[in-house]
Amino acid sequence: MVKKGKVKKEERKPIIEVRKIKKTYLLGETKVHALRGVSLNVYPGELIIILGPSGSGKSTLLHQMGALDIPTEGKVLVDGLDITQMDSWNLSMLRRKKMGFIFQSFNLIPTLDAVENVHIPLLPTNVSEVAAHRRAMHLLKEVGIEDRAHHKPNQLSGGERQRVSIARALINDPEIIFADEPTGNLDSKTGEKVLEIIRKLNEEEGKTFVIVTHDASLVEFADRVFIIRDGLIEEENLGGKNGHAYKSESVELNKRKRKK
Amino acid sequence: MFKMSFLNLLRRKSRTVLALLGIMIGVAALLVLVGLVEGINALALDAVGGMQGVYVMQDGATDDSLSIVNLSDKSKLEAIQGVKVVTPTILGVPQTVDGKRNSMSGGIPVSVIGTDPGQVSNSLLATAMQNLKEGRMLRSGDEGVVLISTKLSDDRKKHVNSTIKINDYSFKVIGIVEVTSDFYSNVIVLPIEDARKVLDFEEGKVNSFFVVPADPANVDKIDKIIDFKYPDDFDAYSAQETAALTGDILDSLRAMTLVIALISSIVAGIGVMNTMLMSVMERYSEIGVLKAVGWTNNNVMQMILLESMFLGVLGGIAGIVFGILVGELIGIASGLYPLMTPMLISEVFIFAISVSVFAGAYPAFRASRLEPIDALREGQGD
Repeated sequence: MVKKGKVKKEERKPIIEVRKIKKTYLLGETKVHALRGVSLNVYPGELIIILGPSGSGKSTLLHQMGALDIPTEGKVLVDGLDITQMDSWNLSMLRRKKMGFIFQSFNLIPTLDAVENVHIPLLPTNVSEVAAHRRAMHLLKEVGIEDRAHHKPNQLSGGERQRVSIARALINDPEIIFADEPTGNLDSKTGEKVLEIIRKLNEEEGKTFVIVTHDASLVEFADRVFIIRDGLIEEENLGGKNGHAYKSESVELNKRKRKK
Repeated sequence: MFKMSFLNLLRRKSRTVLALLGIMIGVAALLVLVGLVEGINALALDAVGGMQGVYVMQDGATDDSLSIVNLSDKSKLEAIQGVKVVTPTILGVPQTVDGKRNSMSGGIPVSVIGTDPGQVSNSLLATAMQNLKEGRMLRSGDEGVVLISTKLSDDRKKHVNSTIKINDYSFKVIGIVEVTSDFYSNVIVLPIEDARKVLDFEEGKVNSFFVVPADPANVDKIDKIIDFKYPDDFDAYSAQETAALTGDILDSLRAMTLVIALISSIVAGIGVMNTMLMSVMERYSEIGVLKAVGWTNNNVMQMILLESMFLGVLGGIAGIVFGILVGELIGIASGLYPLMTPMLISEVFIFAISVSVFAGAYPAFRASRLEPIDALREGQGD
């Protein structure tokens, strides 16, 4: 829709500010330092990729940014409001109004069909059943599976399920969408289709995305790419979105590793 | 959310069915037991409601079959001013009728009531036995003859002039009476001395007296005079007092059914709680997703409580249907029908729902407090 002009970062207000967050949790007897002091900003309309091997803390970082978890230390500001100070009700409202989530394992409700799964976030709201249904159908059309609307998740392929979950993430018209390994459970061809939908949402509708992945091929679509390792941001690079050639040693390494 | 909660119950059908069975049996047991108590109550009220006299038992006796008074005391009662007639009664349950064991297992057992043959219309039975269907009433001087109730006549194929054997004695049926109270549905009425013989009742003693006043308006007055004049010999009861006495016994029965209700509700509640806890634990990741997409703690709690409520509604309906069926069967088998008023049925229904919702509260609370992140982590890799 609206193409963002070349505004300098500093003049834009970040939608999410992560400030020196640490996250420590207990795994049995051992303390795990999943995040050891991470800071980053996300600006409206951006597509951010957080890249890192498993166990690097990238999913933990996404959970803190998406108000699914509260950091042990540091702050996360969403639209200038500190989520570490919010109670569970306010966090729920924040997620309901501003955020959408896409998970690696889709996490659809098996008893409900595709269109019902899409309008789950609206169930506890005042939006009428009819309006919710209409909007859910519209979104299924947008992700290209309106003909599968009345199929249960177990009757859908992996790619179709992930598209249902993308539609679910869009139902409340969020400003920012978090995706945790959105292509992780998909073969490369279906993965590409899903990425294409994400790219369109970002470029044409201006939706902000934060995507966590270990798949380096996603960097082509990104505004910025953060490489995280052992709970710390190791590199920040520009992505390949606006014609930049993405360059990073570690990513090259990653790619080579994958080919082996 | 209604639909979603409902569908959630259908996921593990056998587990849901087991929880429903728990509620169903609890509800049915409650309905049948309370219904039986109320049924007995209604019978008792029917039997004594129109009693136009004073029922006199031994002082301190709680039940007429446990009361023994001297037959010679009859004159004491007759001497009270305003008394028209005093009729003695001997009653009991014989061991055998026509050689067959006469026990509870065959339904309500046959009871034998012996009274003054010339005063049946002035006896305890007067209000319950007004219409003679066949034959004649007992008369003064009758011996070796009995009146039987219509139900007994139908059940045992007895007619006027048939012979009926009570314990070791044979009697001729001279009349068949319609009874207005089911309390007396299986009854044989015979001359008091014959009853004494059959039941081997001590000479000179009877169970109770029935005192009929000359003016029916004086029932309460004569009741009070007897209690006042012979406090150590007799307890006198008017119709109202008899109903109250029956009520006392029924109250203890009611208390018992309450205890059973409590136990069955705990059992049903544990079933619901177990089902819901399992169901919540299996759905950690789903609940996590719901929270991630903006459901609040209360929304999640609502969903689980709705599921519990559905269990209560379904179990309640099943239990009511089952209870009514069991009640009918008991009625057919024993002749005593549980009294299930719409009021009782709706109370039991509300009870089933309340127990289920209450039992679902803890699982709902647990589910609502799940952190989205913990819930999501649990469900990795499905």
